[in-house]
Amino acid sequence: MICIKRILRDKGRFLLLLAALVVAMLLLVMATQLHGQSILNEQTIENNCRTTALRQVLWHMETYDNGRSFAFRTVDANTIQTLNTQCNAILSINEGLFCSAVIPETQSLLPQDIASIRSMTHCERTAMFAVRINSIDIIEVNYAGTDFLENGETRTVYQEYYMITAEVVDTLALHHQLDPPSKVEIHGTWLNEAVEVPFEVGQEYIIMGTYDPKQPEYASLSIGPKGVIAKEKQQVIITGTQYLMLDQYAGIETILGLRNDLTMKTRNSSAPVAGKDGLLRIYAQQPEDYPLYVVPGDERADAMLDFVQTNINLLGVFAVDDLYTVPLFATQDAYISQGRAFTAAENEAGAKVCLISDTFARKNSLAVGQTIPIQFYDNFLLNDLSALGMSYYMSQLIPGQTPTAEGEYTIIGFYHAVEWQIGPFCFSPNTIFIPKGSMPCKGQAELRCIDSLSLKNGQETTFWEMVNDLGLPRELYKVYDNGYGDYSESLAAMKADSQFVFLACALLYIVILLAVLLLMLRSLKKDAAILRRIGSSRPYSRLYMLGCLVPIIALAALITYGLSKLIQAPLITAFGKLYTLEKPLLSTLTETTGLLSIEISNLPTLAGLGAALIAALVIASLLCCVGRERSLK
Amino acid sequence: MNLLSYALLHMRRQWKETMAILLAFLAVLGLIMALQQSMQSRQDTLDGMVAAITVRGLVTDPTGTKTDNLQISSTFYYAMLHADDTQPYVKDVCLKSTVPCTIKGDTSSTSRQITIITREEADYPLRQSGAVQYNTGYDATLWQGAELACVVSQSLQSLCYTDTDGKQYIDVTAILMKGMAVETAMSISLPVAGIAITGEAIYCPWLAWEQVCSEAQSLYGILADSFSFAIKDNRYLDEYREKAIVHFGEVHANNPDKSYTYGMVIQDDQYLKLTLAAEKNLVIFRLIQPILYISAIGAGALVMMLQMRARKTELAILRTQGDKPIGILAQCMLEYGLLCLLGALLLCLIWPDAVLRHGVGVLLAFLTGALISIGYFVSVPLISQIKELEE
Repeated sequence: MICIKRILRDKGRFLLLLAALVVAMLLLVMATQLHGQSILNEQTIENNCRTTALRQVLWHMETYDNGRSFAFRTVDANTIQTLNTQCNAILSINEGLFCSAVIPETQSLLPQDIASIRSMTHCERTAMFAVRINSIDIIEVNYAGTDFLENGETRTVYQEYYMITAEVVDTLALHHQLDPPSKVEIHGTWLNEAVEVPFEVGQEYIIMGTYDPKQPEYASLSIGPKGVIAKEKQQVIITGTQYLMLDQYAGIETILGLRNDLTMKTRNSSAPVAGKDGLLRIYAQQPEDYPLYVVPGDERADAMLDFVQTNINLLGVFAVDDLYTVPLFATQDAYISQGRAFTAAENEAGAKVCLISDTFARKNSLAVGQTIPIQFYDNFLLNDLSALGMSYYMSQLIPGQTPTAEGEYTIIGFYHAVEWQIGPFCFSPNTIFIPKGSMPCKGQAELRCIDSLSLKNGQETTFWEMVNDLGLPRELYKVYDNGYGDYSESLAAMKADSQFVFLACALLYIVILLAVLLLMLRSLKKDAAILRRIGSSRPYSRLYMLGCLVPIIALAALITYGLSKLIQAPLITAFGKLYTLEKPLLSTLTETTGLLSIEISNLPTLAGLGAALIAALVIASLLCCVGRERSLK
Repeated sequence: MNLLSYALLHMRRQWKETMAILLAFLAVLGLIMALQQSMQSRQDTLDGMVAAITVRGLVTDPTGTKTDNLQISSTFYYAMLHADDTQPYVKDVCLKSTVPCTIKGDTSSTSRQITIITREEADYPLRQSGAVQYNTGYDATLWQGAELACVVSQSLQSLCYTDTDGKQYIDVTAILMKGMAVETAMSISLPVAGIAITGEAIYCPWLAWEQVCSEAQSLYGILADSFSFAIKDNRYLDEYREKAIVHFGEVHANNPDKSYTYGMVIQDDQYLKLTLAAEKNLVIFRLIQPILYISAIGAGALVMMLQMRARKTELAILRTQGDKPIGILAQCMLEYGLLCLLGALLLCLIWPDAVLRHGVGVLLAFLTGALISIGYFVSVPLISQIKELEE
């Protein structure tokens, strides 16, 4: 009470000092908020800037005596592993996962010009027809080799090339974008062990395989040593072979089987073979017990039609941590055309959200915000085939395969990517992106079209140094930072300035605070000396001084808080409206953003004020304790 | 002169107060300059972003879902391609078109395509593989020129032959549209400028092929399958939007604007988000700039108020000696003005650019505050001053 009376007695001086204190506190509050806003904005810039390194398919050309050049790949996997694990500039190794999926009641897409880009599709081209055989002709018989029999005798083996022409009676399953053929030409090869021609002219058969619009050279592939026969109810399902159609060189190619563990492997996955034309090929290795046919009575055959339909509309699912690290997005060959990408928080929480291509959405009348059921299948994607010929090649499901998982996913956005292009990073528009955290099945990893390296922003030089040190060619990687390197210097200067301004404000606050408190104490020390004279203890006299200062400090804090709230809210609202950025004309920006967003008003004013208050109280206490009373003259 | 000598005398005798004012002014000046400097670095960051970030534009169908096989006539791209120096908006124009052809000696296929491009980047496989091996005498500038030559895929290498001049050639017969549904075949020996590691294609420069079309009297010229470009200077991005919207529509997957033949997408979301973040900082600093100057006035007023309270006796004596209030005001202002000027000069030694840019403003603001305070104290009637001192 005595302190309050003292303040009121000298209210002119104290009011002045109070005003100075309020100004100083306001300064610190404002500085705190500015610093907070700067940090937020810097984070926004850092989060929106991604430095992504994409591994290129590196080739060297070798020219042979005939003057032709061929490309060969030269990559040392171990050295790349060393780079990935030891380079400090690498922020993260982005490894996505792949699986197949079906969205019920949706149709997959095929390119308009399927002939030139057949390598991007496979299971979508699965087809099933009922055909009637018109003719069976042996085209030629060739010497195939000599068999050594157990009894020591030898036997000459001949290969018989047959051509079967058949007319299509019914199209049982075919992608909606493909036209059904009228005739089918089946080229078959079997050895002379076949005791009879496995087909009958005039009979109906069911054939299934992969619609192949332009691949005549596949005609010479064998259909098996014993032919492909089974006759029951005059229908046979033929598998494990390839068929050609007469119409415009279009054909049917089957490489699917009925075994549950059917797998396809590259002959030598670490060193792909370059063919005569320089293209890489993949070879299917069929297990020995691979069945060549099933009959309609077989329980597996009953599911055949459903299986074909499922394959036709099979979609790819890419589960990734960050959509923007996917190579096509990093190179700006893909972008979000509607909605948004999923956030890191959604990925961590395993949110069931997805992005689909705008082409697929348009075809199936899907909208952003819609929830769709997705059935996931563990399947595999042949991707690393590469830059020369193929890019995206989804394997087929096998009959009887059931979904590994199911879930309801909300479409949060559409993307648009370069479509049906041949390249190592391309994927088809039948691709769904989901957060990796929400991947419900095991999935397949190590895919070029989704894998990338995220570098720390501004650390590109370190990365290149490491690449150089390891003796890797610079051409092995392409780094995309969309100009970050060009403005990183000024960004660093901006960050340093933000800290400098904050420190300057804090320092100024301390100076003003010291000045104000010293001025206050100057007059209070006289009182303290009087108190000491009349017998008060030193702690009491110090407490008296502190008691006079604390209400002033508290009042200043209260006024500062009120003033900051009073000024800030309308200011932010007024300017927030003025500086709202709406989607400009023709832009890919999908959301409206406030230039002065709400985040500044959400910044805790109390943080700055609390710091100011604590500093004031501590300094006041120190000054009261350390200072000596004035001697009364 | 009297005023000046009195001011100097006072400053010397009251050196503690003088130093306090000097420090206060320096603190205000320093802080404002630090903020200005920070604002400048934000402006630099923003300018850097605007200059460095590549914004690409892409022509699509009205739904935005198709970016290839668009058959865009020259009406839409001619100005962008041919008036590169006169129009300030776009650069790196990527046009791609395909022309059906047959190749002499080609037994494996009767239908091939010549891909006409303005840059390597116009063809995705070519861009992605990035591996054109140019023959001697050729380089990547081939695509911008009008010299008729071609780059062939390595799979078509066997169809090339070396002529007597030592150069490689490939003989093609291109099918050109001479009129509505009227085709004309044109046989050309194309010099081979390089080998590309892509599927099966022959690549020709756009401008050179335009001449071929012209010679063949092709009615339509080249119809572009795909069309993209980069914005030359992002500062004019909005200006370009206004111009582009005249020819191209906004795309929408489900509700296409059917009044437009083509849509356009400007891939600017990242650019806008980044510049927005940088601009936010800048705008806030701009907003607080006037507040800072008001604070400088306040600081000047506050410091002077504390000073003048200590000089009440001196003021009363001066007034009783007959000095007019205006004289006392001038004297005080001269004293503090000199002091602040000295402070500014001192700081100028460390931070010349910033002081020269902002020092005058801060000095004036601080002195305005001082003037208000001094004016207030000087305007108090003499009787009241004496009475106050007696109390």
